[in-house]
Amino acid sequence: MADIHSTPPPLQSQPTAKERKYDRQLRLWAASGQAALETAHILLINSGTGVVGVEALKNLVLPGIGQFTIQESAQVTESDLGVNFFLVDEDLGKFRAEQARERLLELNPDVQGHAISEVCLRKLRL
Amino acid sequence: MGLSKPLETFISRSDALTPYTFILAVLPLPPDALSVLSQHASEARVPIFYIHSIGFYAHFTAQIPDAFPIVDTHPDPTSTSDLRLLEPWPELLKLAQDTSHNLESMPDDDHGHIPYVILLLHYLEKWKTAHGGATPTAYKDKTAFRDLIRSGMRTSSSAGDEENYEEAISAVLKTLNPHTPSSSVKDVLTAPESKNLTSRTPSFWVIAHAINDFYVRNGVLPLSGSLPDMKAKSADYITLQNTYRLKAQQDVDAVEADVRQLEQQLARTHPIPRDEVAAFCKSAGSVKLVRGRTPQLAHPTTWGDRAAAMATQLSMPDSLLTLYIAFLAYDTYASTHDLFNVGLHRANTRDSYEAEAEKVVGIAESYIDHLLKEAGEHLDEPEYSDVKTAAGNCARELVRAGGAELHNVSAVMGGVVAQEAIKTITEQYVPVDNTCLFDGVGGGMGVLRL
Repeated sequence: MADIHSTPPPLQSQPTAKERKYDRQLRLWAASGQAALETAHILLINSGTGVVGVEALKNLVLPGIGQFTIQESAQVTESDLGVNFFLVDEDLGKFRAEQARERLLELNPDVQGHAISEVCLRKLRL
Repeated sequence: MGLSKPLETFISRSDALTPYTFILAVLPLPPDALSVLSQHASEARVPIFYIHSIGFYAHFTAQIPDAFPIVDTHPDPTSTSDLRLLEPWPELLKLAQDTSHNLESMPDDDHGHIPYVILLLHYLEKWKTAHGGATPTAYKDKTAFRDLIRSGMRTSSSAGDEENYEEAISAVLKTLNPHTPSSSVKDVLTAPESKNLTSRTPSFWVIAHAINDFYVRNGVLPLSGSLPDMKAKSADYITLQNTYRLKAQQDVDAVEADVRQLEQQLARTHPIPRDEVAAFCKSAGSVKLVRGRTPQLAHPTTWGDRAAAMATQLSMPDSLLTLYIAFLAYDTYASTHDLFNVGLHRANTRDSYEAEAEKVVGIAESYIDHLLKEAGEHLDEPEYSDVKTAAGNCARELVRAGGAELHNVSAVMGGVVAQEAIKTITEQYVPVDNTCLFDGVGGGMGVLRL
């Protein structure tokens, strides 16, 4: 109770690496908001050509969510390359979820990413 | 066909969805999988966003838990500042009297540095004496009150016009308002969740209950304690700031005492941290409750309590609701045909694309009629034809796109989805409630509550 009558102490400590990295967004949602993001685990159930979901994830990986998982069983085809910025030529024929996961993780090393392509199940059913 | 099976296998496993705190589902999805997702989300109170991006059109609907309270809505500070000037507590009144009792005889320098809050309190006392204790709340009275303040301003002072008086005059209209909570705050305080507490009620509602008791007792909400910047000498400003802070802390103390008593009555084992009580008290004037709901996905059978509002929305020119109906029709058609190849797999002949488009248009038109009938509404010509044409054109464009996405449209929608997801995850700001539509042909975006 007594401390409120004194003026607040000047900012003495240097900002941590995380505070520097996320400086601008911490002004928007403070440490509490950042902590909530860092404990979030976001599941993307992707379908169709699957671009909008990956674009949304990009904007969540950059501010530092804890984890994401992409559930998608499609493989990369030629038509993906023109529209999905997270897939490149050498990904052709590989699983889209796995390749997009790797590219997304390059954006922010503090984020964990997972992909569920259901390889075995898919092969059985085809 | 093989493409959709892995999803159904995945989500049919028990616990498959438990690790996730937030779900993004890109439509169209098989109806069975969708209903599993939607049901899981509402039972586990996990937010789920359903997203579409097809050709020039995109959409998302947020399904958030049915009671989603937000403490920190980040309101505009000027619109919510609560200086309690019409009902000052004794310490504030005494400070004002001590600081301003010799206002007329003060040296110019001191006179030009009396904080405007003190000036307002000083002239309010004068006003009350002259008006039988009444405060100037009507617009006419406020204008007269501003003149009263202006009459005390020294214009001959060496420093020119007195900035503190200018601040006081410009603050009259927005600060001298009764301290009644907004209707959205009352919604929170009187919500059934805050009335019927149990040992497992989320702490938000226990605090809301205590704050409602505080409000009933005192006629005002707990003081936020923040003071805007103003022209003043540093020492005076800090004294004033501390007066507000101390009162805010006393209010937190009172609310916390109630919270502790409630905890004891309810036999709650984990005490609510004082910080949480303090944060709620600080934002008491701007808390917000969003009532999430399960949206209509493919194959709508009834529009329920949405019917009337949607029918009204339909009668408005250029409403984006027609686009939403086209998406519903598209998903319904896709779920009974080849999910991701609408307009594509027989597309080498122009006729087959058009035939498929007309089927989706037909579904969209039947939804419009069904909706109007359920709402008991009637649209006159030419509005009726216009609405059908608009929905039909959206449906044709969706089919024409052949399930393809345009990167720029998806990037826009991906940005909006992420922004709203962050609001929901951080429980800060107020998220979209509940449907957002983007029309890349007409260049429009809007939010509808469906």
